[in-house]
Amino acid sequence: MVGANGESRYAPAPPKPSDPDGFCFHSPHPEVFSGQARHHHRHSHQNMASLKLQPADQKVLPKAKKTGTTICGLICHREGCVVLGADTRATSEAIIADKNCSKIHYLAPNIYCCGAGTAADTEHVTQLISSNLKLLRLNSGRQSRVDVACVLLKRHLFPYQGYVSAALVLGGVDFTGPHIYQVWPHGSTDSLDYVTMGSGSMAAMSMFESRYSHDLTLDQCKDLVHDAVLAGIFNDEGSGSNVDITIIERNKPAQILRNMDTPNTRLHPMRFQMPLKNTVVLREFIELHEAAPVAPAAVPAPAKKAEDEERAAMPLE
Amino acid sequence: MSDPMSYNGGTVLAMNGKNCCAIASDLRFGVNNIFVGRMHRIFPVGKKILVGYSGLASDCQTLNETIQLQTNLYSLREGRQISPHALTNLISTDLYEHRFGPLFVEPIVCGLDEKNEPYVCGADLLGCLSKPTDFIVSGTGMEMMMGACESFWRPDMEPEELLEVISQCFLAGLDRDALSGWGCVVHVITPTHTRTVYLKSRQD
Amino acid sequence: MQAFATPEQAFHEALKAKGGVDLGTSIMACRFNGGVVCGSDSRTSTGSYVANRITDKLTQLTPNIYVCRSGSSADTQILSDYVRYFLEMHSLELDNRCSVYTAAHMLGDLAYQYKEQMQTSFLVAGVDSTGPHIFCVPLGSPVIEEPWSIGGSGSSYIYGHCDATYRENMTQDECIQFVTNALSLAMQRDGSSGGVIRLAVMTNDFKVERRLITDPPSFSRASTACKTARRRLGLLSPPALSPSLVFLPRFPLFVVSAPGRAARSP
Repeated sequence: MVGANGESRYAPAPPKPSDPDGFCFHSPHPEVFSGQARHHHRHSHQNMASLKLQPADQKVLPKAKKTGTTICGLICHREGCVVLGADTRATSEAIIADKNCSKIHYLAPNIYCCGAGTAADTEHVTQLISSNLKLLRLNSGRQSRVDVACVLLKRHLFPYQGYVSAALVLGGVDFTGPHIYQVWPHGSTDSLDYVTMGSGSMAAMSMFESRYSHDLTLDQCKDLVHDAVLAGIFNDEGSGSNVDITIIERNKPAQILRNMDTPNTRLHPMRFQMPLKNTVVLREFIELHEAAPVAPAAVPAPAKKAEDEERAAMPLE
Repeated sequence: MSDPMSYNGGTVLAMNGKNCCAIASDLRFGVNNIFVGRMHRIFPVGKKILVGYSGLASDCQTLNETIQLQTNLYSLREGRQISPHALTNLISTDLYEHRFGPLFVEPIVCGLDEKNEPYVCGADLLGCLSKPTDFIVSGTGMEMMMGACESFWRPDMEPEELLEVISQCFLAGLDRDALSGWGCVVHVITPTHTRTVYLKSRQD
Repeated sequence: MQAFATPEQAFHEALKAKGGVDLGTSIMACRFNGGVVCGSDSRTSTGSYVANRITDKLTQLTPNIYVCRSGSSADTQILSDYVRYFLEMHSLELDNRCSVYTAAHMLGDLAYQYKEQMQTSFLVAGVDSTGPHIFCVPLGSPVIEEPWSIGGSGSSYIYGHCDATYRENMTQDECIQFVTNALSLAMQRDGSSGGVIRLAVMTNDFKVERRLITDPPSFSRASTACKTARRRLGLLSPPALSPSLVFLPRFPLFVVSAPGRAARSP
């Protein structure tokens, strides 16, 4: 019985049961019996090195990965389809955290969604809505509708009042035709013909405003979205690397053109052959993966001596 | 109190090779600028999968314990070991559960999948995954190590070369990060074995 | 601290500080002898960036009732979505059309309940069995019936104009002209309003007509001069609407003191 003797690290010791044998069916702390104890107290910060770490000073917030982003989408009225585009840079302050991340998320076979803002939020919000849409499809036996996806998204985002910072470009084709929605983190939505979001949205919008028209062909639409994302990549510091495009047509599987254009590949990568056996090794262990229990391979390095070396070095500094 | 992510210090680096992958971390456990002791921040999750944690030491341990619990239950339920892909998704949802009071950890998963293909994937403290083809760094020495890795990493490295590259990149970064150091451990995972190496590094 | 000319402007600034998407707006509704006209500009902004330049801020609550939204885009969308849903349920129970009074008070009650969290200001306009009605649901959520009403950050610029120009028992066309002129004036002076004018005309026979005015009449001297110059260069067709014709001030003082015009009493 975990914790019965007051030794549990994760849960306070439950009070002594009234039965002197220590046997009771209805424990006052049932969670300590079920392995949920760890889960339940997981966030109690009992492992913290110092209680000074209580988040009293919330001014210093750790940086989450952001997608300083160019995302955009438009409706091709001529062919009744939707083109979405995104860059592939993820930043964490001034560091490029990911040079080739994917910002066009799957919602349904006929609906995709570009995300800007906090990367974890866009990722998890789209996963959640995607799963809800799948359940709706299984229940109704019908194709998902874009406006349903839009309402699910805004109903999720609104209660968080912008704290779930996902700015989305939602696009898809259903039996009512092609749709593009802009979804703001606060939960407001706009239905438009062409939409841009993210820090590079102004650059991308300038391309759309100057070149969009209702009778563009699909190829022209694709070029326009490509150029809009490029405008973001080259004019916005938060956007960069490659162009991703997704084309959704009616009654066809979506065309996912991942890294459709890679204008920023490394031009002269160093192919340096590192000299082997150059690094000084103190100790070495080898664990074999074979199923049969094999004794660990002989350790060539003098482990004891190395430990002594390390220990000797410690107090000097 | 300063940024919880740099309160204890520490860096983790993982790299892809040809049919192998490697993960390295330092051993320092400090409180701001004061060196307190040594700790490991890389833990196995079954065979051929290692998870390294950087960030606040208490949250590193907490997340590790949660992951160990869940992966043990997973292997009991499924009768097989969790795949690295499933593991990263598990870590991602565990982290996002605490969206508005996050665990200050940035974990890195390094291992070989069912087909013995190398799998290296990192998450930020909110659980956003990033799966690079080359390498991933997290922790206080991230800025320092990224440049070295950009230069020295190349595709299709054999285990011996991978060990040298990851070691040299890591040691170069340690030299310029005051909050990491005090020893360095590298694990190279190949289909047949995992080689664990302690490197001689600066003790300051 | 900033001093604001009107509560609408203070509201607008507060919303900008909140960081949401803002309908910095000009909205208006006006009764005429056979129905009601409501109209709005089409600008949605985040800070100084126009996020949507063809927004539809007129939301249909029931077939015979519209609401003009101003304030936070997210807040007004969710409130009007809920009210539309409640009214649909209500009219099913009634087996009849909802009254504008019900719609306005339902919206007002919801907005009042959440007034600490939400930044909303509405005009509810429609026709029911008792004729045309306009209710104003501004900040703080009182519900006030008015013969005409204006709202949003742009409204501060046109109170005088509307006071001077409104007449009772206008015809439909006069009313549309009145709303269009007032909104154009507001959109020209208010940086947060602009784009096109959207109108909804609801008549006592329960017909609804939506109109889009893509070229609002221009009143400012600068833009008139500019347009004249461009017309001379052949770049612009003559205006459909002459500003001198549409301005028919109704100051009683002016009418009395102007000789030869006394016949046209206010």
